[in-house]
Amino acid sequence: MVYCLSVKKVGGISMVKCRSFICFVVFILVFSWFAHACFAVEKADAEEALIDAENILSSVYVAVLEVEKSGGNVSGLLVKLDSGGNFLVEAQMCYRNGDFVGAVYYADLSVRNVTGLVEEAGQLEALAVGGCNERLFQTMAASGLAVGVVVLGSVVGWRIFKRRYFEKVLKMKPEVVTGES
Amino acid sequence: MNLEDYRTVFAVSGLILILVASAPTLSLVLPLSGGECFSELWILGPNHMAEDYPFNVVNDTVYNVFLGIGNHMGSSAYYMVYVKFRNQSEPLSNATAGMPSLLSPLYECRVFLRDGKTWEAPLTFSFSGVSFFENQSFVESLVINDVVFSVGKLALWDGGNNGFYYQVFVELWIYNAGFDAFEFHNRFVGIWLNMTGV
Repeated sequence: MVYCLSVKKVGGISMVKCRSFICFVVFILVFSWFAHACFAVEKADAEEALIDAENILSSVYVAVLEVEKSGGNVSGLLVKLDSGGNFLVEAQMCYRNGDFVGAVYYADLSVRNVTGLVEEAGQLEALAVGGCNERLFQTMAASGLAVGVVVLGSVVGWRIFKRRYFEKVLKMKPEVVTGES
Repeated sequence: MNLEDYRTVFAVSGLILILVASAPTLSLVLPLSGGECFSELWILGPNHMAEDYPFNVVNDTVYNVFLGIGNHMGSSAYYMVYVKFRNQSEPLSNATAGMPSLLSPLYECRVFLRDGKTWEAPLTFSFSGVSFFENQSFVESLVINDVVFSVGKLALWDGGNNGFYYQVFVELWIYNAGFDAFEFHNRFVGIWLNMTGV
């Protein structure tokens, strides 16, 4: 009886141990599975963040180019773009070294640095276009006035010159040349 | 001169004056062809001069050079500079074919530069895990601007030039807004390095 009890006890302990071991193995397997899934998501997140940052930076650059074409001053925008680019470089470095958290962090910083620049660029472009139109109008008006003055001056000048020329010609006395038939 | 000659002189003078007067407007309306569009890429030595470049290099010593870009593209440009590392047998960029090197970039810089402006930045590098075995040398990692890159690069002994030669070179890429992508700008420059000791 005692023997049986002890066997049962021993058996119970071994069962518990066995269950614990199985639980441990299952836990390890599940953990490794989820850990892998977690890291995979992190890498995918990093890739997505990098692509997003890259696209945003490019779109801001295109907007800045438009402002520049319109004659706007883009110095301030380029400085902000530059710092955004530097953060993106940091993000790329982190990604290449397997630091996906760092990559996401720097990619976000890059995006935050250039957020609102497209709107700012749009405002600058509108200002530049307005200024450009005004300059064009002023230049055209000045040129038109100058051309008008030149044409008028030429016509009047020519008439005055022609009258004086004729007066000069009419005042000339005919000269008789001797010795000719 | 008779009256007709004077008339011609008046007409020609008037035309010239009209052209001069309308030049400001014409310059705004007519597209004027600018100069040749190009970009510059350079590496300068530690004293900002094209001299004293590092050549004989050893393990765990920091070397300084300066990397520069000049923009003459007629508008602001978005540049990417790739720093690459190769041994003598690995491919270099091909300027004739306009093809970049197939090697993966280690370090990169992104630069937004206005037309007519230049950009310059220090580029420090050092080697670690350098070893020599018979007629070959091995570089385990290259540190560029404090970022460590595992390169695992092997170089064979160059009997003709007496050394184990590596090259650090940079490629210039430019963002093409039309294609919405970076493209190789057909500019690259590098410095040869002779690994002399551990």
